[in-house]
Amino acid sequence: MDDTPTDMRQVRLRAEALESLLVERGLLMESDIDQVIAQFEQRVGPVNGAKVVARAWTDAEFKLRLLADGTDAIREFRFSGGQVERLVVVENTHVEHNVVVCTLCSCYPWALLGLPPRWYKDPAYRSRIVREPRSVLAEMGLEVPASKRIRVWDSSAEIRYMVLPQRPDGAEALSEKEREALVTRDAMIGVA
Amino acid sequence: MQGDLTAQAEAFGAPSANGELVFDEPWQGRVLSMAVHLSDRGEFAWDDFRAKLVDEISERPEEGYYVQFLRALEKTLLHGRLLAATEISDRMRVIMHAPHDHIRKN
Repeated sequence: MDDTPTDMRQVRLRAEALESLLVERGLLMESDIDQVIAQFEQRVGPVNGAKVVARAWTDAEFKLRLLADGTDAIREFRFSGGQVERLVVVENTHVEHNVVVCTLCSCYPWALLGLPPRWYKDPAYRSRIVREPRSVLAEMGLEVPASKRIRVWDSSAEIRYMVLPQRPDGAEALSEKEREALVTRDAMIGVA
Repeated sequence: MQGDLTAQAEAFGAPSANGELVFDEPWQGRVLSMAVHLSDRGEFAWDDFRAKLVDEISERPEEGYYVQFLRALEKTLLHGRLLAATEISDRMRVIMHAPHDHIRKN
């Protein structure tokens, strides 16, 4: 590496180049990395997203701001890093269910949700969730009632989506921490 | 070793909060995983890598942790002749010019 100031695009590129060469040499397989990452995923978790959701469940004014301009609303949490140039938060209601995908690659609001799960990058999920969301969600264990409309949000290079799940009954009586623990990563992607 | 990644990562000083590893970006998790895996395979000694990481951290305190980490990993690979500097820059050029309009590896 040279001594020029760090350009983060160059850093990402360099990391990708190393991985691709190491795989080519047979020194590692992508699945090795995925396996280690899977363990990290369990630990990193979607804690930031859960904080945002838990707040929106009980703070109506915050929720309005969050739905109007996600990027602006989460600023007060001071989350570090993470490429949320423009965050759009979409709300699940009793008539509408939202689910997020990135059909072209694997754009993901990792500042909020941690590392993307492997299936999120899977070509099958990326293509099928758009065409037949109801059956894909059912296969993933989520039966959306026929009365509910399903909206699929396709991430772009600039926009990241996060689903605001419906508040479970009784959640308002819990503490903030307990509420946060109710929010899962999959619910914020819209597959649970 | 993988059974206790957090402890290992903390042992070499990775940022963490509440005992959880913290990645701001996915490439950070991937380079950390690469280093753990390659040292598990015996491609290099973890202590050699760690020494380079410690050097990076003291020489470039202004850089983010995982930038330092990536630099240390690259130096370890070059030092052990697992990769050559020219092929790394060549591969970066190839990836940069590959057609895609999103971030390639998220």
